[in-house]
Amino acid sequence: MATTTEQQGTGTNGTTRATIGILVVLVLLAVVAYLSGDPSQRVGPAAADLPAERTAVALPLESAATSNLRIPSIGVDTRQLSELGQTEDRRLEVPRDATTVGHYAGGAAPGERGPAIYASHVNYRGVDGGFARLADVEAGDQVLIEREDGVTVVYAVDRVDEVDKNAFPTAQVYGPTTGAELRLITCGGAFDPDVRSYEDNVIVFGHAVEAYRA
Amino acid sequence: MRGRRSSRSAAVVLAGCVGLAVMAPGLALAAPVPGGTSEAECTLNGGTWVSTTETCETAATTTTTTPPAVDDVESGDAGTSASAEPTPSTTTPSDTITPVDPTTPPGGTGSPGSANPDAPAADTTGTTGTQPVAPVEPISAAALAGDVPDLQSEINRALALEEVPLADLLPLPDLPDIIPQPDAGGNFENVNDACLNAISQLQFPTGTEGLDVLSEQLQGFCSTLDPTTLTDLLDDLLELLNGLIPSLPPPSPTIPNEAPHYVPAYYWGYWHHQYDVDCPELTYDEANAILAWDRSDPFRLDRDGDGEACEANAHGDDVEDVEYIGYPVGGVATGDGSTGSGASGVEVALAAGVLSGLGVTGLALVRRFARQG
Repeated sequence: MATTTEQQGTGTNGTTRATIGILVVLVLLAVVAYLSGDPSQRVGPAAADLPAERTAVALPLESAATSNLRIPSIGVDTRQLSELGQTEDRRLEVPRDATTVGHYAGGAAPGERGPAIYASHVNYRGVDGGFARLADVEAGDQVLIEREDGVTVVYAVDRVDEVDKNAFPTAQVYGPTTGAELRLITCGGAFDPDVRSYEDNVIVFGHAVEAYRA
Repeated sequence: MRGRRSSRSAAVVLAGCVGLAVMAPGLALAAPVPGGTSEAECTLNGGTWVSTTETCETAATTTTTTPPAVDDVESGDAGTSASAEPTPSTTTPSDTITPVDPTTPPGGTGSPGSANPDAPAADTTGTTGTQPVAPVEPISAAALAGDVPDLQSEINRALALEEVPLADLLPLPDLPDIIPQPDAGGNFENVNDACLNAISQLQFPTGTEGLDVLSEQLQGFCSTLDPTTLTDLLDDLLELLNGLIPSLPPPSPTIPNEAPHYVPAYYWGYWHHQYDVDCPELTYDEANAILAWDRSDPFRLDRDGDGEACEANAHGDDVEDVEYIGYPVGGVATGDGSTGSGASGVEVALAAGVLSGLGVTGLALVRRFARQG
């Protein structure tokens, strides 16, 4: 446009100007791209490679504590685990720090019939929580939970729901199930600064596909 | 002259572009910072400083779990990532279920648990997703009729209201207008229908609080049962009630000043002074409810006349064990809005510095060339 008109009139100067202009724009674009980063929070494959020589273990299992929880699709791999109970006002306890993943002691153990329930913060005290990216989990993703008896339970995600905390599906989350199931809970939705709380919960529902000993 | 003017307009355009490019990421970066690490930074960013947790709260910046910078820069993105949208339930509609097997004896046996004799087989396989869909044993209405009273007695036990007159019982509120009924053979089409029918038969004392929530929870449970799998429906419902009923709001301890149209049976004796009660038989709340009802203190529960009955029961007696048997109530508080993702204050300052440096350089270059042109 203006540059073209002006290029005709001023020759080399115009070309240099155009080049520098393009360069500046390119640099800025690069900076913007760098700062925005990868918009997807899914950092890994939906499913991990299971060991080829594994011994299948029949489900459901007896009770055992969790030693490792992995969600490959969002890069969660933690041994930082705790047991959760209920608070005095009957709410589910939450882990005391941001990154720990808590297992609800009143629910099923991983692989046991019933829902094995895990909760972790989305963020806490300025730190990304253990389940910061839980909302990016998708149906079909794999969750692997290793138990202290050496058995690993492989779950498949059925669905990811975002629900209003005031309409929390207690029966669907904690209620009895036919087989061994999985619930992963964190916060989501809008943040209400008045009560310092998110309005929603993100809940991942899954069911056990297999259990094995490596 | 013409060249000079056009180069000037080129300079203006370029400067505008540079300015815009400098400002956009800067603004985008500034917005998501949920607080900064000091009170000054926090208030500067329009947030609210919470001294107890040393965190800063900014409503607009915490609406997603992803770093908001991403959404802001990518204008047009709706904000929440698509995967956060509620995914439709995987439960299939009831019409996909195998029709009732005509060979099933109508009526069933009526004994508890007879509705699902093959349940252990389902348990041992444990998996539901990859298994071929086996014909599902229909749930016989007669079996259900045999077991629903068990559920009812469980409710009565849990609510401690065994002696409530039948007239004062009501079904769950907000049930669908049409409750699924068994077919001519006495069987339900699927487990979801049987579940809904079972909960529609439950009766609760008039005035029980929280029944709307309970109804919603039970219906939610029924609708998401997998109709293709065998399930110990009644056992599951029993377990569910045991988990949910303790979460109902406790009945109000205050007895109103006038006898309501319904009074729990165990209060009748108090109302009519038919017998005496003493502090050891009552909880602190009960004793004070009686005193509130009749300030003349007919049972002499407030012997020292200070307006407080059975002080000795005030602590301990009616404090339940902290090991709750019911399910946890409501949502889970897993997040305080402070995020470590996105850019920190230092990173923002650095980025802003770099960008403004670039901008200034760009402007200087443009001006220089403009002057030359």
